[in-house]
Amino acid sequence: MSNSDSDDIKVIDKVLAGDVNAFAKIIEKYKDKTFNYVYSQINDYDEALDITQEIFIMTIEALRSFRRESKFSTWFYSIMVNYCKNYRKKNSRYNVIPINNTREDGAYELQIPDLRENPEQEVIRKDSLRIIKEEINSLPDDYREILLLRDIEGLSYNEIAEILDISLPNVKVRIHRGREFLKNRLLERGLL
Amino acid sequence: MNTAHVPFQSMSDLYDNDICTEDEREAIRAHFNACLECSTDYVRLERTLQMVKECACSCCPPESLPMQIMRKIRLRRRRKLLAKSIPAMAASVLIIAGIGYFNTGVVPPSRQSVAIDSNIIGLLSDTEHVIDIIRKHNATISDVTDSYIEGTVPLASFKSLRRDLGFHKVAYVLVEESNQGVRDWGSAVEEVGADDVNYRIQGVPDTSVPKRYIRFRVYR
Repeated sequence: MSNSDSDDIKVIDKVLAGDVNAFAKIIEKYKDKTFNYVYSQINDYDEALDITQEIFIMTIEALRSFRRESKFSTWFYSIMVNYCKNYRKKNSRYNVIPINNTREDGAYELQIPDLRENPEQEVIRKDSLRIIKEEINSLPDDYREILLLRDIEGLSYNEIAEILDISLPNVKVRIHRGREFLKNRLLERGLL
Repeated sequence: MNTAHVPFQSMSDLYDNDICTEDEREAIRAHFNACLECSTDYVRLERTLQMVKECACSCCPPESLPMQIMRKIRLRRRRKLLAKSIPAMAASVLIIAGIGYFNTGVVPPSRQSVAIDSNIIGLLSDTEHVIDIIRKHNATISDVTDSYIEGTVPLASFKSLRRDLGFHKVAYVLVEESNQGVRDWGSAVEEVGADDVNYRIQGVPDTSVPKRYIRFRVYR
C-alpha cells in the first residue's frame, strides 16, 4: 500500500468513526483532478462545480460500502466516472459546448497565461481550447472517458481497468484508438 | 532498419513509456529519424495530448470548493437525522397529547364505565332514599327487586307515605292483614306523582273490624 493510499485510509477511518470534518482532507486532495475530469466531460463550469460537489457527497455517503479491496483513489474515481457517465446520458444537451466559458465578473475566466501584450495570440489560444473541448466532447463515450482518465488524471492502465471494470488489453486498445481519433480530428480542424 | 511505418499503437505505447524492451524503443526512434511521416505523426500525437492537458488545466475550481462541499455534507447529515427522528417525534407528540387530553378530563378514561357507574350510583341512592321514606312511616318492606320495592303500611300512614314518595310510581291494594300476600296485582290502583293520589279513607276507622293495611309497590 502506497503512502498516499494509507493516508487516505487513515482519513476514511476517522470519518467512519464520526469525524466528518476529516473528509475535508480527501476533498482537498482530489478536488482538482475531479473537477478537471468533470469539466472535461460536461464543459460547463457551474455544472461541473455542482457535479464535483455531488461526487464528494456521494462518496462520503457511500464510504461504508468501501471494502478496501482496491485503493481508495480507484474506488473514488469509479464513483466519479460512473456519475459523469450517468449524467451525460441523462443530459444529452451537454454535448453542445458553450462558446464562451468566461463570466462577466471574470471569476471563472480561463486560466491561461497572461498574453495581453499579444491579444491576437490570446484569441487564437482560446479558440484552440474551444476546438479541443469540442473534439474531446465529440469522442465516443468509451474513448473519451478513458482518454481523460489516462491523459488528464494520469491514472495507470491497471487503475483504469479496475475503475471501468474492463480488461487491461481493452484499456490499451481504447486509449490508442481514442488518441488516434482525437489526433485525426484536430488535424482536420487545422490545429496540428 | 525496418522500413515499415510505425503503427499508431506503438507510438502511443512509446508516449506512455510502455514499450518493454530498450531494443524496441531504439528501433522505433531509429525509424523516426529516417521516416518523416512517422516522426511527424508522433509529434502530432505529442502535441494532441499536450493540448488535452492544457485544456484540462485551463479551468480550476474556486478555492472555496472544499468549504462548500463540507457545508453541504453537514446540511444533508442534519436533514437525514431530522428525517430519521420525525416518526419518533410524531409518536412522542401523540403520546404527550393523549396523556394531556385524558388528564384534562376532555375525554374520560372510559365513557361506558362512567355511565354504568353513575346509573348504579343513582339507582342505589334512590333505593336507599325510598327505603328510608318507607321506614319512617312504620311500613314493613317485604321485597326489594330491581324494578320495585314492596311493602305493607297501615292504612292511616299510607297517605303521608304516598306524599313523601313524590313522583315515584306506586301501585297499591287494600288488604285486611299485614301479612297477607297479594296474588293479583292486576286489581291494584296505579298512579304516578303525589298529586295524583286519590286514595280516600272512607269514613272513620272502626276498631271492631280487622285492621286494614295498604300493600304497595314503589316502582323505580
